Amino acid sequence: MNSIGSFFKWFGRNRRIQVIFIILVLSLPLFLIIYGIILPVRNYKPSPASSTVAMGSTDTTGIASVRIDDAQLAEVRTIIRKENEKAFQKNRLSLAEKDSIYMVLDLPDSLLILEIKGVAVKKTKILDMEISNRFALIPHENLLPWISEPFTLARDLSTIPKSPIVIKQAPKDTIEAAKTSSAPQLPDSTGVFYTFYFDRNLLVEVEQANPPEEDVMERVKAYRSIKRKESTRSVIHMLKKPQQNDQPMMIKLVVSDVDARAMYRAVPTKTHLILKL
Amino acid sequence: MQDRTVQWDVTNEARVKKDRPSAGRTFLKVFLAFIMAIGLSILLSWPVVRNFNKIQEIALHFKPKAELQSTATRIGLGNLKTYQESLDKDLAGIQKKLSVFLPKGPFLIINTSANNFRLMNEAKVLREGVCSTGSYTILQAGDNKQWIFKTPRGMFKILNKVNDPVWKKPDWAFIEEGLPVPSANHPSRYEYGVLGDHSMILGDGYMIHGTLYKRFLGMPVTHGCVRMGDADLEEVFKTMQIGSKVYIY
Repeated sequence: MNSIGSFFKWFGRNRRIQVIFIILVLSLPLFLIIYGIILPVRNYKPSPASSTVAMGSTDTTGIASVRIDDAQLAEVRTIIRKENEKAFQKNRLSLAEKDSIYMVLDLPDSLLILEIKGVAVKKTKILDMEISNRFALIPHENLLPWISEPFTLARDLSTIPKSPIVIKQAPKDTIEAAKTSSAPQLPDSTGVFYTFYFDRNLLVEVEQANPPEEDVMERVKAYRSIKRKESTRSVIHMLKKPQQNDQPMMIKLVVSDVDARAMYRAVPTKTHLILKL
Repeated sequence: MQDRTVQWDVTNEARVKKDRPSAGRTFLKVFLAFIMAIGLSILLSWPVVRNFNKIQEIALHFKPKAELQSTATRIGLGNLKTYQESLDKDLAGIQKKLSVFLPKGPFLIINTSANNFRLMNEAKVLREGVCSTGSYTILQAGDNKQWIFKTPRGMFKILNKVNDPVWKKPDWAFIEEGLPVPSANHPSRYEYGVLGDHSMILGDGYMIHGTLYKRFLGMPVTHGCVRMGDADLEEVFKTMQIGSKVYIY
């Protein structure tokens, strides 16, 4: 106790040590904020395209600005809405022509739709959503080519299995078959959380609205832990290359657990998503 | 008097010596302060790392929002009206092409996750109810044989409608019961009454039919077929025609 007291006495007396101490304490958080947040945000070029994906985005930086009045502004807004609608319907048509089950994320109407060959078989009301601020920064000229093709699922992370498979060994005889329980599987507990990682940097997180039940908390914790690790990895990646421009375009959706499960189980592993802005 | 002064000086010097820290102790204190600073720094950085994306999103909020100038320049202010008209025309064309995919008559939507169905005609729901779909059981037998009991997903058509269907038991039905597999057309393969009053053939051995196990309706218990309750099956059988579309997800 005496030595701790003497340490703090020494520390309190030593102004130079105090200054160095404060500098050291603040150095790492400041470094993270400057290199990981301020610099990338300042240098962020508003385009959703990753450097690895060839996109037909238009570079709008060289276009001379024109003066537009309010009436023309309204018309341009209508055109933007219609261009988005056209891209959306064209995507629906292209996927309807293939035999596939795909998702439609309709942000203006807050709907997550499951379609099979152009027919909406399930419409899920989005109860709550968070959309990355990047969407508001990117000009329509760059967003339009980005949404003009369906997104393809690259991988996913989930708390529920894609198919709840049970393996059963064939019984040797009728006695063994009679002993084998024929009781149906109980309905799944609620704990539906998943992330879809699409190409072109689109990331869609889906969460159930109600809190997870106790018996699935372990799975949910494991899922969140993986997400945290991924986030930490992205911070390190960002610190290595603060000028990079391929941060994910994140959309987080909250839907009911029944809908979230049905949607996850229904879509194929390499499913497509159409985004309506 | 002189002796006392000397004695005082000696005591004072000893105390000063005692108070002066040694180089080792100072180093230890500096080192301790350094470790504490690093620890505190990591502690302060942790919330930044954990909420990195959130902080970045907040920072992005303060950047100037996208403007419409570039779109106006691309189209040309004089062409806004004509461009809108051409967009409307394009949209109408796409909608027309899309409408080809919409079912012309009644159709059935089956949700294998919730084990329920909707009988529809255009946007109108004619009937809703529970059904049973594939159990997702993999039955493993010897000779590297295995079967997975799942309901296929996608769009199907009613290929045939059968009254009083007879079930021709496949091999797995015998293996599951621990019985020897009989020859292809052995009488023991034919079971009467187990499929209910009607069945609708979807192809590849899959059907929509009735069931004796009504207590399991709403649960994933079948070998891949879709089972319905008697009243629901009656209505679906009456409404759906050969060629009607069935969407399973």
